Amino acid sequence: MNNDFIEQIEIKQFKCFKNFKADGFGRVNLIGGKNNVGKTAFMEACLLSRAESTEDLYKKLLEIQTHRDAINQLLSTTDRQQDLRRLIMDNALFSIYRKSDKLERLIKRAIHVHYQKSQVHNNSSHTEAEISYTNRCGKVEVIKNNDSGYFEIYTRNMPFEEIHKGKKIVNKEPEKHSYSEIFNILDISLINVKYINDISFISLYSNSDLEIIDTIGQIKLDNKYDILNGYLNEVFNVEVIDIIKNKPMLKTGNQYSDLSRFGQGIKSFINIIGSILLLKDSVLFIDEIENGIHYSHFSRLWGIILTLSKQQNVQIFATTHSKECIDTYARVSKRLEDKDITFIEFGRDRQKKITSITYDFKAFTTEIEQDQELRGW
Amino acid sequence: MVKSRIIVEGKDDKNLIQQLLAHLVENEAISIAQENINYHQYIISMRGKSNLLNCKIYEKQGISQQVEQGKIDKILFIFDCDFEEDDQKCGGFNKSKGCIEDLIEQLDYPSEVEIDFYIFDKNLDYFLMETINNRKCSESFHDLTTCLRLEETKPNRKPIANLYRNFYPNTYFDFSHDKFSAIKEKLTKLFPHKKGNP
Repeated sequence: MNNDFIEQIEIKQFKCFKNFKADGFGRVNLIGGKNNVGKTAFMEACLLSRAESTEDLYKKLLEIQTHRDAINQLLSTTDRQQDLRRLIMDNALFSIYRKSDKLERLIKRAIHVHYQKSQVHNNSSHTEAEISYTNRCGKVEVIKNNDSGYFEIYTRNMPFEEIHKGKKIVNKEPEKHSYSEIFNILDISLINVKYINDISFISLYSNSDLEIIDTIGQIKLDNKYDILNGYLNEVFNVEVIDIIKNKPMLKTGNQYSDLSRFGQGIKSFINIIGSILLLKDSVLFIDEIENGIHYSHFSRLWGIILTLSKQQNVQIFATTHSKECIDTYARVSKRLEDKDITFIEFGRDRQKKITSITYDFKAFTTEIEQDQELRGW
Repeated sequence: MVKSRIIVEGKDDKNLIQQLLAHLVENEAISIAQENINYHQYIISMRGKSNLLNCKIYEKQGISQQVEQGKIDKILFIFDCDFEEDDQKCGGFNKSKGCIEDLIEQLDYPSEVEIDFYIFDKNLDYFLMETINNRKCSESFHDLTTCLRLEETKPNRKPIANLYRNFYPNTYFDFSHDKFSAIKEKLTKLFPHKKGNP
């Protein structure tokens, strides 16, 4: 297993997770479960845990927001700073620890994001206090704690009124960093950012022309253009994909046609193959992998994913609701004798807390052979 | 969502349980959603009695995880007791009962999980042959067993039961026979009842 692969993860207070642990991941991991059990949030947490720096963490937070809320963002004029502020205010009480095989690496790479909601900040350590904020206009501080190796990001809600043991107190501590200041420090002008193309997270939103143009361009630069075209030719009889007049076009039967005339399936194939080719020694997250893809193509899709991910040393996490997709995943991995795979099933335990079961190759294929239900409980 | 699982030895047991569940649904003793009507998802085949009674297999196959995480809340083990001379450790009714009780103890599942077991006297094939209601037919099978001296070679009626199955693949066993009452009662406890039925 590659050192950069995620083997286990702990998620605390992130979105629907209170205190969640999962482990035993393989190179390719398919995730199933009912609605609202945190399948996508789990992948988002994994994505955040891979942030290499505070700047990268912010980019990834924005990426998540974009995938979650693409339609609303398209239809509204909300600026991205506001989106991020909302995201942090709503969801930021969380910590995510990604564990690799070396403890040292774990500490160095772990990211701790902390939202100051029921705790006060006191000389770089957090202590519990009876405080509730009435003003939600947040300020952000970013501290890298050199002792623990964590990045700590927390909002300071200042100036604010707080209720301390029944008394209203106005906190007059001077402002340290505002959101915009933080972004200036990080040299990210969010207002000017039209979109962030992080090819390590694929959802339906990734099927936009902008993302595909970006991916094709990079594929060409990486000299992997022929590989992509080879797969497209094999699956869809497409001779070539190219960017013409700033538009992705497909050549079939000696004629170019606008990619927008084709369905979502081919776009998903382009994005998935393109991302694996570009993400050598890394991790790729695919939300609802079956979207737009006819079930007859699942077998080829899994064949490509299993083969390419091994060649490129890319770890895959993908979610699905489709039984056919799950069955085909088992069948193809068995045919290819690829045992470095898992199936992760999400559900709720007897206390209604979100939990998961990780099935290794043997347990997963046995469940499938016995026609057991794996799409959550 | 039904969180019950019936854990059986193998394919033949699975087929029988599927037929029994269909019979119970037909008679409105239990209610199962139409989309799950093939019952596969409720039955786990362990590929042999030794696997069924082996605590480690439940870990390996992910069954224990499913119980601990709340995916499974009720379990019914169904298996043959076989013959004492076949297996010194778990052969015969009393030893089989001891083995399944040991397994349940070793599994140590949370107290909320309801666990029960049903053991076929001798084996499934013996059991089934004894439920053939047609007296003449039943006697003929008995004669055939004696004639072939099956009891002397290996006390197993599988060849005879298979013969019956091969000749009458669509003939269901008579599930109204008294011998099925106990197992039907245990199966009924695993599923919701049809409205109006106790």
